[in-house]
Amino acid sequence: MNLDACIARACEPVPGLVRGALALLPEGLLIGSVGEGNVFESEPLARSAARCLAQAPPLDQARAQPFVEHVFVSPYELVVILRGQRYPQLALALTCNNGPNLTFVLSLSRMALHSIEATADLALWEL
Amino acid sequence: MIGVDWGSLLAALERVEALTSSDSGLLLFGDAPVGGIFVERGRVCWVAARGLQRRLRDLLQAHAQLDSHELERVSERCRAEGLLLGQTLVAEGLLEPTELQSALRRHSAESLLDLCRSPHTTTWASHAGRGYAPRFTFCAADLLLDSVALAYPALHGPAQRQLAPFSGPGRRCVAFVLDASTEAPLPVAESGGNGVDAMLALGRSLAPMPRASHELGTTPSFALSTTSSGHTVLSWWRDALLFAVSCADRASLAAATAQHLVLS
Repeated sequence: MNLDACIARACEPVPGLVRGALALLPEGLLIGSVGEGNVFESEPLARSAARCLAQAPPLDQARAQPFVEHVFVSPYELVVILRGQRYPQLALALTCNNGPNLTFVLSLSRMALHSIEATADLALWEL
Repeated sequence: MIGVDWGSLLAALERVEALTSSDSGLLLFGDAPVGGIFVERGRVCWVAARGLQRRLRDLLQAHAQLDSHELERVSERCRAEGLLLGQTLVAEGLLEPTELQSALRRHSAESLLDLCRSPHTTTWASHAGRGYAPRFTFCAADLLLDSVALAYPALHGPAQRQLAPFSGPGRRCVAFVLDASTEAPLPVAESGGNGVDAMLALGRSLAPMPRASHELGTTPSFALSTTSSGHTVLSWWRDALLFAVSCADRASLAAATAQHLVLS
């Protein structure tokens, strides 16, 4: 299964999913996408993931605890940005309709990234 | 807005905050010192800058509502007897202690901004001499907030007003000024007793959020950011202000988020 298909399958349960991007940190290199639009429309998601996860210094520098998850909540959409647990160089960014419950979207987005980390062949990207 | 090298200012205050309660002395600015931050037992007494000595007298006069002759008389006596003018005015009932603190803090912020108009290195010089009464000292975070408020007077009031409803037990709230000329967001108001280091770390961590939302073409009502240990910060931004609310527990975070939605 190619990477886009793997991302699509993992993200299928995420309610209200519009578009998603899988990116490599710290550069924000887009390596896979899912949902509406072409690959160029997923680029801002990959760049934002890099900006929020890789360019921001840790919140608590002494204990080195950077943010690993961001949710942007607007009246019409949610943008979820997650850092990989197994592969911290991996980031998943998803845009969803703001109809479903925030906690529900967040939980299923986490599960989607977990599934990608477990099933995708990321050797090509040296992960 | 006055020109300030915020990198120098923030570095100096981080250095002062890192001092311990056994440290007293002067943090000097410049190779040929043009002023410095006086520290007594780890706390700031005041900030002196060359050419601004007269300004402290003006501030004391304004707060004490003394006429210039009376102030001159007390000032002459302080010089002759080696007394501190502000504390003498308080001791003689001519100035309220809170007014002295306000004048010292205002003068210190003005002096610090003046010292940081251009990049300066700082040097720490310890001393073991006579100090100030601890009641007239303040912390590095107070000095930072005063300085930013002075540099951005139009943003200070709105920042305080918008942040006020969120203060409460176990919550740490900070409002930052977003200025394109500085890399780090500048804390302008806070509640919950945040230190300089904590506020700057929070600001730097959240700085990419407004830029990312712009990149995404979205205008979020708010954002939630979570660390690997599960600590979540609520943030939102409007124009040149970024707000962050950090809560001790999930219930408080949910309440703060609901509060933000009601108020916005």
